[in-house]
Amino acid sequence: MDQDYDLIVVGTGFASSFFLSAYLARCRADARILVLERGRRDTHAWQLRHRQPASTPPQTTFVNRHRRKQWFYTPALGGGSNCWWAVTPRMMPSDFALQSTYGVGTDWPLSYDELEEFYCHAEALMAVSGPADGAPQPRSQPYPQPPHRFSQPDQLLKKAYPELFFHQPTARARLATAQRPACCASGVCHLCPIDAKFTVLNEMGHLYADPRVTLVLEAAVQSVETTGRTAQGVRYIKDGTETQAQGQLVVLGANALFNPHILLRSDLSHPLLGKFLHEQVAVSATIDLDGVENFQGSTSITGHGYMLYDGPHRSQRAGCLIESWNVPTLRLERGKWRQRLVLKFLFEDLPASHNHVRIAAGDPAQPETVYRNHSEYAQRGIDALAEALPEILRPLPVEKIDFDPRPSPTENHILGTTPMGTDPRRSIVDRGLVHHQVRNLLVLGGGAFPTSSPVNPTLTLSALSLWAAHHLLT
Amino acid sequence: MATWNKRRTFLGAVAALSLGIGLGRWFYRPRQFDDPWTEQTAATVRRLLPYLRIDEDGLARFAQDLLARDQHALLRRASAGDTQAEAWLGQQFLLSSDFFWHGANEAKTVGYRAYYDPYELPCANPFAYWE
Repeated sequence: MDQDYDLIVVGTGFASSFFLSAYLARCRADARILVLERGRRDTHAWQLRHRQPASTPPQTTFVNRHRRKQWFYTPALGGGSNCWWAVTPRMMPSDFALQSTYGVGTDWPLSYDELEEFYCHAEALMAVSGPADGAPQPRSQPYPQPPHRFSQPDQLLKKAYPELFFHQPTARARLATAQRPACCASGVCHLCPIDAKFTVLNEMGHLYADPRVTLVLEAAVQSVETTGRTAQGVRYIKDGTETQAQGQLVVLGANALFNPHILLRSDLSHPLLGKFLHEQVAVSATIDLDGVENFQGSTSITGHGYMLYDGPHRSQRAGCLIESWNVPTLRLERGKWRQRLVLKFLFEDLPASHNHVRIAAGDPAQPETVYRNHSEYAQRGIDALAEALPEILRPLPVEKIDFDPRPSPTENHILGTTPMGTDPRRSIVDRGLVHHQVRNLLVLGGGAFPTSSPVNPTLTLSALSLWAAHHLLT
Repeated sequence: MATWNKRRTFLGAVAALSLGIGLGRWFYRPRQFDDPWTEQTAATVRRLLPYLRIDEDGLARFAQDLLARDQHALLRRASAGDTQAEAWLGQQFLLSSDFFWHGANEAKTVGYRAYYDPYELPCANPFAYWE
């Protein structure tokens, strides 16, 4: 097989697929593109039959010796889109300028305004449902789909906080698309029984059937081959055989464990490569209500609260996004069955260099995560929540608050190991996600995030891929 | 002596009759709770939701469906009073029943619809369609 390509893409999750989508729209009709995916093609039917998102267990592909902290991803065609919960908020403008606004963390090398049109494009590709009555982030276009139906507690919170409580933006379809039915609130969105959430398989599968694309599954990329400041291609192992593929352009779209691992094995060392591994830190509360019925919403999570998100407190402690859950969690007391509300609180974390990814000592073919803890900044946010919660919930007839301050083991987001920035000494890629030293190498995905913000990262990293393709190709 | 014989005959007849009634009851007993696990499940659900009138055949079918999905460990915990397991079992029964589909009407006998599992029975959330 001729192994000479115009473009080599590593991975098939959001970062790769959104980049490929933009690239295919602009490239030559005879372009040659190689896509290398570590996992298999596990169809939605296969996933339902086995009740799991991928046939390759992710835990077998990397080393994690930390007992409490977990990292999760999906090694399969479509990557994380197979297991995500399809929550698609945008970051706030201030999230891009945390240092200059609040004196903590790092500023992103691009602004919200610069990314806004790519947010719109990503939302269109995912057919995102979102609030129709404004949103905390400035928007140039309305959401592609109308909002999901609020629950009764959501309605009370909206009435009390009209500028701080909104319908959750989501790629769980409110209206059927050509490929997907409307969401019916089954509440098991990590693997939707009716395929109502956006996935690469159901909405972008055509990319991998494009005649310009050669898709190789079960191909584990080992390294990027470089000469001076130019990437020549990649080495990968398939069926035990190592192969070298040449490419004019190499795009790493694996996750933030594997992108740095590939770069570390490519003689592209940098003091910060693999550092700043982090994700959001989440805790939850179960609130028993008196006389207010819940779960009327039309999808699993219906509301987003910004009451603790932005403001001067972020100079001291983490901002927080509140999720209002609509998955039935019943009480058994007579007449009280539905008078319960579950809220989840997602806190931003400040990345620290001691949390990192390295080449596993025992098996150089695997990355290893080294994680000490989330930041004091995030913990101060959690600590302040217990005190703030009764006041935030004042608009609801609260009977009892059961607050669990223990963070969940993972949010299934992996961020920060190949951060973007303008200074090549303090970042791995530039604002176009191009590697500072190797200018025909792009490193996409959540690894590029200099800071996490409190919001789920998928929409932003998808928009960043569209942004990167735009800057590369125009 | 004759009185004593009459008494013996009478007591023997009573014992035989009692044994017959016992055997008859055993033979014609309700079969839905044959399995001790099934009975334990049903008893725990009745304990958790004492205020509801639950159709016994439906409750037995729920218990059988639950156990067919290998939920013995959870049931053991629920029977022992583990609050998380109890909450899960009670919720699982309510969502598998017609209770909410009949507007949470306690006056109606609660019947069993189907085991609540979104993968076996998609779009069966009883609340999602209430406007």
